[in-house]
Amino acid sequence: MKELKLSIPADFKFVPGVRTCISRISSSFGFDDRETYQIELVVDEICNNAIEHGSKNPSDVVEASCTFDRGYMKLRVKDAGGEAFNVEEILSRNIEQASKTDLLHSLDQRGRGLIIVRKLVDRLHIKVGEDGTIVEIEKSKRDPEQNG
Amino acid sequence: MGKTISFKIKNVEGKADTCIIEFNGEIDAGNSNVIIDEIFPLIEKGKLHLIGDLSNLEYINSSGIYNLLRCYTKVKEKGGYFKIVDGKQPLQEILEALGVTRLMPFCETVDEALQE
Repeated sequence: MKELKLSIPADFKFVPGVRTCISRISSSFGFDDRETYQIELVVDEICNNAIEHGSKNPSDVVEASCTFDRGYMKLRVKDAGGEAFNVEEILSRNIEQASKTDLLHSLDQRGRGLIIVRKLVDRLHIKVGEDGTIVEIEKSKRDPEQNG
Repeated sequence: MGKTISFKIKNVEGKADTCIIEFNGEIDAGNSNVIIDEIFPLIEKGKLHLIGDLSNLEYINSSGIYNLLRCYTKVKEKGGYFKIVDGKQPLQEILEALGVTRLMPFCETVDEALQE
């Protein structure tokens, strides 16, 4: 199992490089073009949320770790603790609104990117704590027999 | 932001209220407001029949999708339309999975969007 760790300054300018980096590494571990695009989007949305809602100061850091193993990847993103809103409650509400075709309204809410994340990963776990929120996802390759 | 986003605005001969907006590059949290900055003024100037060509768009995230929907809503409120030309896969698949293709009118080509 290989692990990548990143300490990301709470600045949106760093996110494109992070998403591209993890997406490219995913390709090296056998995820196909469709999957690497989805991974790039997942990384983007989770990191953006961590910076926008989970960081109070420009000096805050978002900690990301990504592990790759035969057939799957895991991503864990922890923010420094910003706005104290209930991410799980908001995610549930946004998904419900999106399912009722109220897509515009659901995307106008906090955590809108998590609607996309939820659709693209196999497992999503969110833990809200006093010292920050941790978002963990897991995504499997469609063909685990590919190189990894 | 990552790669920049750029737009080509093309008028349509014989249709003063119609224009084609070609999206090129990537749209993410760092630049998605550019969609509003480019398209809202067009609507205010009376361009109420818009065709957004995503065929050269390489990437879009939730903030970009949200701003596309804002443009759609704004022009629809004024009695117009905002049609979208399909993006490349796998970007198009994301739009379908989110339900954007059920909400906004999508066409396979610019010609198809102009004919309907």
